Amino acid sequence: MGTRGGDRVRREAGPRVGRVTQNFNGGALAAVFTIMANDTTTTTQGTSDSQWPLWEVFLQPPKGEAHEHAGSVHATTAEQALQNARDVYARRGEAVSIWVVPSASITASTPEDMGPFFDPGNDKPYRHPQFYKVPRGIRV
Amino acid sequence: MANSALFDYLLRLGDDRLVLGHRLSEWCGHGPILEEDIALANISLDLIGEASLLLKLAASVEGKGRDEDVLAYFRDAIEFRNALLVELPKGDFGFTIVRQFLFSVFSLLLMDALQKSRNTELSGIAAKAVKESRYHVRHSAQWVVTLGAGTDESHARVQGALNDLWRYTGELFAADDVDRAVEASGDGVDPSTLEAAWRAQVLPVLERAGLQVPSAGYMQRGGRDGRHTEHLGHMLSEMQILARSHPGASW
Repeated sequence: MGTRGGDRVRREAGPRVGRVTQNFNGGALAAVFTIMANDTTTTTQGTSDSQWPLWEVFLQPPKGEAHEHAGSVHATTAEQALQNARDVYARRGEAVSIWVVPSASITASTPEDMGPFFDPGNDKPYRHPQFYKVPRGIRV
Repeated sequence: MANSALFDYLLRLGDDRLVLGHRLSEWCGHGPILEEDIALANISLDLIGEASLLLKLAASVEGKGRDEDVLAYFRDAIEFRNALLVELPKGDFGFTIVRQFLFSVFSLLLMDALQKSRNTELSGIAAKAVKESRYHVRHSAQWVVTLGAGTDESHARVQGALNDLWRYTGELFAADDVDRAVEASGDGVDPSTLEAAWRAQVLPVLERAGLQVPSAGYMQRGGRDGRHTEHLGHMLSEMQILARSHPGASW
């Protein structure tokens, strides 16, 4: 599952095991840890090559609100993505509807966009409706 | 006689699902991919849940003070009434998927028909199981087509699995006195009436998967009478050891 595991975990796997190795000052045990560290790196890289395409999963809660992003699954077809999403994210009655979208189809803003995209909104409180009086009889 | 036939019949229904549910649970942590690992565990839990309800009902029909746990954990292989199909070792993923597909279509048809059972508890269990089975069919059929029409390797594996499993499908539809008695009383369904519908659902999927249907030959049977393969005993020893080592334990 992409957002929770996937690439992030895989990239961390090597260094984390490596740090354990550094805590040992030589000796047989350290050698074993070094071997394990190398093995881990090899296997995890091998896994990344065989991963299936990633799909983003959106669930509509039973109360009828809009679909919300729930996470992601790997699948080779849309039907399989739908089934995997059902099994991973909707098996406890969380949803009445599921959307799956190929992750590659999503165009996302980048961290570099942060400033130009979002900062200008920070000093313009008049864009919020809080200066208007709420008419009587309206509950908020 | 009527009660004893119904008891036997419910044992068959319950044991099929208990044994297949356990076989699927053996995939937990070993699935080919994380998502499928979860999917197999979900199906396993569906089946064990159905088994629990069916064995509970069987125990109450029997009326000897046993409950579903006693039936599940304190009977020996010779007392189990599941079809041989479900007790075969899980094999590779292709084998598990082909078996699941063959059984799930059967189970869907059976549970659909059992919704009309005169026994309201059984019809209630069937109504729950129909929804679950429908998903099991959809999931396993999708995989049969994916693997059958996939690579040479995946095709060869599922074709091999189908060849090995086909001879165990006849037992699902073999009717005996127990089946005829519950059909006559309106409690159960004679499984032989489901075979044509089963073929009508199974064959098109196998065709879409590019799989050759094995020619009709000798069909293995014996499970309904307690004559099992050696595999069931091994499976039960693992499944039952905890309950037998600590009788009455709970958590």
